[in-house]
Amino acid sequence: MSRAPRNVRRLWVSLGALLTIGLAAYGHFVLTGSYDLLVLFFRNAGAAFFLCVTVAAAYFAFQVRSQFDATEPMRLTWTMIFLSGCCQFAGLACSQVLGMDIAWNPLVPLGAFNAQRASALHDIGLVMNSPVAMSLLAGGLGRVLILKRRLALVGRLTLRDRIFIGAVLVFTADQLFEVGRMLAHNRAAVTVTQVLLWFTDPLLAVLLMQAVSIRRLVINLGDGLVARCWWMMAAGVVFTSAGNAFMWAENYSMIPLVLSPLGWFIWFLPVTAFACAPCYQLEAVRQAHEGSYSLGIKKGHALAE
Amino acid sequence: MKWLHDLLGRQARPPALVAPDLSAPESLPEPPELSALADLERKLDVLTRGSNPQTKIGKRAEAEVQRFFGGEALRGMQSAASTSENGTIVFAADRLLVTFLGRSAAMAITRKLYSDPK
Repeated sequence: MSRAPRNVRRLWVSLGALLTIGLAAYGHFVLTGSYDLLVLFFRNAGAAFFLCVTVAAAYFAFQVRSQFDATEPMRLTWTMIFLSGCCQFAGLACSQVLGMDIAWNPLVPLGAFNAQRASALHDIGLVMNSPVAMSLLAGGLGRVLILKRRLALVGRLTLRDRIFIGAVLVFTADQLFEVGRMLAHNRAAVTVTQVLLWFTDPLLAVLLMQAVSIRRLVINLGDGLVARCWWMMAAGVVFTSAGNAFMWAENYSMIPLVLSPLGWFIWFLPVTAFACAPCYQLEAVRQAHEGSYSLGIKKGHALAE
Repeated sequence: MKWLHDLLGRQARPPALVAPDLSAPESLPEPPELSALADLERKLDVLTRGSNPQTKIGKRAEAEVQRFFGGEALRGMQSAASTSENGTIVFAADRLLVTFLGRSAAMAITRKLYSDPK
């Protein structure tokens, strides 16, 4: 197995450093029962990490997109992934910075910050970051699967894959049942944000099914750079689902209070995985051009290394 | 000075869409109506079939497929190609490279294979 591209190593090292600090804050919470350090960590270092990594993911996806001509089908795929990254960034910027009363929120020193605006920005951020970004990502991954099927590459799902997909569908149906119950109980209390956020679980189910198909395909392909790119995308979807499942378990009080903050750390994993995926593709393109006199025709080949 | 002019001219020349043919280094450019994709497919087809003078290049083409798509993908293509009369699976290799790396990168691979067949 060849060495990971430099940007991938940088991303995982940054994540490791962040988690080390975060776990120290968690240790403080376990020992004292105070959330102060944890909140300080997530509002500052955590939010900054989210923003930096999502902007990097969008930038890398844009670089990959520019490697394809307008007539090539993968250009649209990467355009969708790039737009998904942009929505993630915009959503996180709204929900983690502009909607928060923190020192580096630009609205605070300008005197434009108030609770009502913060709540609206937070809601916009959640919608951008979840259903909008997910639908674009699902579009992109769906196109990859269609292309791979055209090339007769889609691996056959195993019984375990089918059971997993079945479990995801049951979970999604359960969530939709909850939505129906809520609507029947008190329709007037339902907000637009809630309605939009209801699409998150079905979209996540679609993404998970795509991730399972991609995983099976990657297993059938082997350990190449392009395969690793899509493996990382699938891993990002799985981590997102893990975070969602943790939140669901937390809502039903299945998680002890002392373990509950650990679920917040899960969200660092999908953003890192989504940023790593295009790095593998860029590395593949760089290696393709390496040694050829076409090196440097297109900008960004040196980016991955 | 002509040799210097020729050398500089060759360095500055924009990359051709078609990989140079070693057997005919001064061959005329391909007709424009021949699409780059079709040309790439034709050349990679020759490479991956491992036809006699180009066995080494064929091996390197296999190494490229393995690097970008993995060992299992290569083994699958090799086994399918050995049983396929018309080499339909061989075309899958070209199409994989063009589809998932982009035409420009796939052509760079082809150029490398032709220009440095060590």
